[in-house]
Amino acid sequence: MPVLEIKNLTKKFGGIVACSDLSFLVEKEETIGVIGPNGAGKTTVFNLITGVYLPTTGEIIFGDKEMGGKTPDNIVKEGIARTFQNIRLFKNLTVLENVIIALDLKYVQYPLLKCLFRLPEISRAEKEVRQKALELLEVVGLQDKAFHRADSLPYGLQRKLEISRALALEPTLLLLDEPAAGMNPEESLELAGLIRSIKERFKLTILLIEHHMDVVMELCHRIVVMNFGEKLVEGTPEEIQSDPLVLKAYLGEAYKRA
Amino acid sequence: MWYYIQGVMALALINVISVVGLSIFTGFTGLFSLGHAAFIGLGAYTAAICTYFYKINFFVAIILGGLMSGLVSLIIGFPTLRAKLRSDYFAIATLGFGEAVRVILENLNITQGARGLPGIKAYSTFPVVLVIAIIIIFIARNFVFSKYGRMAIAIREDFTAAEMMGINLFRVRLRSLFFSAVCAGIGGGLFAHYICFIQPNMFTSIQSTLLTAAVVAGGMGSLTGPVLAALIFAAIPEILRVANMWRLVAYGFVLVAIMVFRPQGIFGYKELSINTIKGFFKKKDPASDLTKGGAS
Repeated sequence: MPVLEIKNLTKKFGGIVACSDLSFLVEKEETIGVIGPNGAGKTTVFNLITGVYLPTTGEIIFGDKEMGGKTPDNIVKEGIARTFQNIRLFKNLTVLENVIIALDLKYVQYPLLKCLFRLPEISRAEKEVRQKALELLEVVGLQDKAFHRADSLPYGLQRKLEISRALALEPTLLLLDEPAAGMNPEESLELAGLIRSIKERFKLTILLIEHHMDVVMELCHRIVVMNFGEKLVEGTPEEIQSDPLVLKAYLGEAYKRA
Repeated sequence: MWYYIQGVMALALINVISVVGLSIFTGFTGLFSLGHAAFIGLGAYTAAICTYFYKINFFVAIILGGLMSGLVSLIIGFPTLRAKLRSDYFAIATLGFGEAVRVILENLNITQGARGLPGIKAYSTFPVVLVIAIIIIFIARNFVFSKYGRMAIAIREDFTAAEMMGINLFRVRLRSLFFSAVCAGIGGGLFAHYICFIQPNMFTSIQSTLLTAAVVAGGMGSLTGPVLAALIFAAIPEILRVANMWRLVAYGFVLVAIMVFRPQGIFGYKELSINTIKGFFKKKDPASDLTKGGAS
């Protein structure tokens, strides 16, 4: 049974069709790449899956439930987490607190009234979640930076923090929106290694938007190519690399094989 | 003299109670309100009517005042926060709400309209106000340094990302509004029993602006900052009583100076605690005090 099924998904903003009649399947523990030129509608698809936008028509089926029309917080509770193309950390908080906020959803359960009077069990729960957050930071190698402000981190580490924050939600499906943007080839390959290791460790299914082709080819089992809101082709990395339609979309009409 | 100082201190602490509530809403949740004087007014009238007409116990009346404000905040918060109004639009909505409440107070029979309610008993003595203020600050602190406070802070920092952390924006914002309204209501109840006479035009948008100013000047995302700012702003006009008409100019000048030289507020995102004071005297790595700190 597929983890995620997208059926005839369409999103219109006024006259602009950002995503048109898109369908694809994501199998369990698979890594699917979503690529395409800028403005192809890749991030729109992510926003539709995570409930930031409501689909105009079409269905998003996660597990066996319809996600279209649910609010983002409820979709997260079903087990979908994401990172953002333009990093969205809680900038004024520490790295540790960023992760703790994500952990709150599943690990911190105490009623409001008890917390107002700070009963001992609250302090205990806080201590535990702190420990858990440190463990998660260790996975991405940020444990040394735990008490730094999130916006004081270098760019690459901010991306890693976003990933560890998404992991703290314990998702089954992880959406990564250009995790290697702005990284040099070495850094992006290192990131690819990290994504591979967390995927195995947490048994994740990953949907990945990325422009760095080396990262995409390295990680993805299948690739969906989008252009002007539509699915151009879908296939294995080898198929995509030699597909004439893809080459045309990326390089234009005049492209001829050298 | 001591009597006078006690009086000023009591009034300042009453202000602190409302400001602490508003700092949860504005400083920690990131929404601006220009109508919090309405909650103070509702609390003041509810508590005053309870003790004046119905001879209800003072402390019960104070709590009823707080609950009344809280209840009304849910009524105003439900449609505005559900619609996910952006911060500035929400502020305008609260401005209208504040005026509406004032007009209602002016036209009800039980509030005696614009004539006001005279002869309220002076129950709000300095020790009473001090104890209540400490309790409110203690509860607010526990709120901020908990899961619930963190959810509010996450929304202030980035509400799109907060939603992706499974946080329900509407519920958390409404909770903060409720909390701040209850604080304002309690502050209002104490105010009524301090000043002994209330009338609707004591609770105008100017009052609301002063509260917001104290929060912003004290530091958005700090509890102790706004508390200190509220105390300073209560003290300045009194200290400068000799300067007569210039004291309000000085008040404005202090506010401008804070915004120019410390736009993040007196304390910014920090709290005044033993750790911060220690850190101020000896340079240390930022890790050491944050391990103890908790959120923000």
